[in-house]
Formats: sequence, C-alpha cells, structure tokens
Amino acid sequence: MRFTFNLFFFIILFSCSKNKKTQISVFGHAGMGLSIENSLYHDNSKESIELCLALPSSDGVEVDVQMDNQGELWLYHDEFLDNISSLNGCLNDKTTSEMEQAFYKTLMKEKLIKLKQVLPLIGENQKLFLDLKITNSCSNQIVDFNQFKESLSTLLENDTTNVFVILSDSSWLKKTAEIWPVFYSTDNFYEGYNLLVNYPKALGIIIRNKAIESSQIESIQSLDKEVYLFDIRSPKSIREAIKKNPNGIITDDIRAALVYK
Amino acid sequence: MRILVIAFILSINLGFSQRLMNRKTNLIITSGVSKQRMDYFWNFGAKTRVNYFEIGAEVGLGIERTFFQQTYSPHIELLTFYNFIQQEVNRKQGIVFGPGIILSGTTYKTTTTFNYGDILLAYQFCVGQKWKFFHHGGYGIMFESFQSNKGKIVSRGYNYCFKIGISYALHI
Repeated sequence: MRFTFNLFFFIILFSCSKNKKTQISVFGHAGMGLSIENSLYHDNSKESIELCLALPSSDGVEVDVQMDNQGELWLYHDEFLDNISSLNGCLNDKTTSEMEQAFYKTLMKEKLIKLKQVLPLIGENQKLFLDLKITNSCSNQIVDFNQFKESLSTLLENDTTNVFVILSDSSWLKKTAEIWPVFYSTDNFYEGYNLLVNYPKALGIIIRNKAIESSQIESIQSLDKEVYLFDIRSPKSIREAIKKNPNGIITDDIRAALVYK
Repeated sequence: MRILVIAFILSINLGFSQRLMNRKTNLIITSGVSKQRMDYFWNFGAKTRVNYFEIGAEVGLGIERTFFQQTYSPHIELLTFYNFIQQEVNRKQGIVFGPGIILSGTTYKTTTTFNYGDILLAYQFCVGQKWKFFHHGGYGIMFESFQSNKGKIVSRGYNYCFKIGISYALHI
C-alpha cells in the first residue's frame, strides 16, 4: 500500500515539473484545429475562429480562403464541398447566394463564412494568415488572379498590418508579393529556401514540422526571413516544433500549445 | 444490431436462472481508464449499491495533459446506475448491467484555466464477483468555459466516455 502511495506521489510530482516558457508565436490552424477531435467546432467556422482568437496569449489564426464564381471570398479548406458540407462540387463554381445557404454537416451545423466576417475579429496584437486556395479542382484550372486580387484588395484596403497571405503555388508569388505581405507554403525546405532567395519580397515560408530541421530554420532566419511550422497536433510534436525555434507554430491543438506561452 | 442486443439480454435472463447476485455489497473500490473527447483519464473511486441502484464517485487525472504536456488536469466524476440485470452465472462469476448517468468536471490550466462539465447518458457492464471487470459507455453534452480578455466564454459540444477498469468489493 505504501509502495503504491509513493509511486502515485512521485508520478504526480514528476508530471508537475514546469515547462519552459517560449516567445514563439502560437496560431490556431483554421481556428481551433483541423480535423482534431477536441475542437468543439468545424475548422474555418466563425465559432472556431472566435474561440481561437479569444484564448489568452493566442497570437492569431490561419484560415483557408477560396473564391466563389462571383468573386466573394469564403473560408473553406477542402477541394470539394461534398461530404462535409451541405453542397456538392467546388466552391469556385458556386454563386454567392448558393454559398450563403451552405453549412457543415456537423452536430452544430456551423455556416460557411465570408472572409469579411472574420477581419473584424482580429485583435490589435494578433495576426491573420490567409492561405489562398487558388486551384479549382473540378476544372483543374487556376482561378482568375485579377478577380481574386480585386476581391481581396477591397477587403484589405483599410487595414493590412495584421494580415498575411500564404501561397502554395509559386505562379502567383511574384505578383502577389508586390501587393501583400506573402509567405510561401511548401513541404520541401530546398524549394522554399531557393524561392526566398529568388523572391526577396516574400517574407518567409510556412512548412510542415517534419519537413525541416532546426539548423535549416536558422539558415532561413539568417536571410532575415521568417519560418512558421504547421502539421502540429500532438503534445510531442508541439514540444519538437518549439525546440526548433521557428518564428511561430500553426497548431491543431492550440490549447495544448498555450501551455508553453 | 438492436435485435442482437435484446436477444443477448434475454439469453442471460433465461439461460442463467440461478439466484440473483448478493445485493448486500455496500462498498466497492474502482480504478479505470477512460477515453473521452478531450483526453484519456485515469480514475480511482468508490461506489455503493442499494438494491438495483448504484452510486459512486471517482477522482482522476487527464493522462495526456498531466503526463505528456506537464500541466495539471484533475477530473471528478459522479455516477449513478440502475442495474436491472444482476445475475450470477456460476459461483465465481456474475453479470451486472444497467443504464445510468455520469456527471463529470475537469479543469486544465494553460494561459487560462479551462473548466469542463459533462452530463452523459450511460450504461455499465460488469463481470466477476469480488473482483470485477467493468465497462462504462456514455454520450452527452459537454460545456467548456474559460476567462478571455473580453470576459467569460462558454462553449457547448458533445462528449463521450468509453471506460474500462476493475473493481473490488470490500464488504460482501
């Protein structure tokens, strides 16, 4: 009995050792996380983003942006609307009025929201990353740049200081970097590094946690560029990501990541 | 599936026609591990039986948060079940089954303190005699609250519980 008590006591004592606090910025991935069980709301929904931004010490949020066929910008992650929303097909082919009726097939039936509904939610010291999804997967074509630019410029004309654009397609990088602060999203460190050398206006890269080492992060930071890591879901991957000392992490479990703030 | 469950329950009642299990048991200690939406929990507790009713309380810790995130996540549960099946299979084995309610509360501290409260509709299944293996399953509503810079935020969602464990009857 005494042994059991001692064992229990030491386990508790060991488990309560203090974490090292970090200055690294912590962002929610599409709100409170993408496809993670402990997120109470669907990713990219207003409820999820509001909750993420309300967390004390949350540095902001990353959201996925797609454009409908009338130029309205919506938050939506997947290539197709089928299965997870009340609509079928691709968002890029839908009208604004069709999209206004759309909701996620969840218990809460959260509505799909426009980007303009999110902008007022961002706090003074928080950042908003817009991951632009520019390929229409139904037609396998890239959406119209000028229409996208016009829609986004209209929304961001008043305040762009806290808003950053993420692109995973290099074809838009040069022309986008002329207008907005841009990060390049890649799974390949060397591709990202070369791109930052060739496009000095790009601010940095967004890269999968497993695809980069801490020495590689240092080499990008030595170019005076920033590195943000994503695909960080478990407590172990949060610890690993923070150890690499990036500028920020975009995590699917922001509650767990805030333990280190 | 529903027919199979009904057939299973009837087969227990008809197939094992021995006397009901001794209902004088008044203190049972329990330990179990449960999977819930927010974490895995490791619980210790005690329960008592009065005829078909069983009431218990458990305290525990969130395993992932306490042992892997090195923060602290205490958990408390209040359970009540109506064991309408209490059947002896043989001298060493008995089966207990019934629906019930699980109320639980959890806290979790990061840059703020998250408080969780759940109300789950549940069932329990136990097998054994003095030592028993038990399983609880449940589904219901969960509330999350925390203090933000703009005030208290309360969110609502669903929660579930899948628990397995062992219990020991102190007085039979």
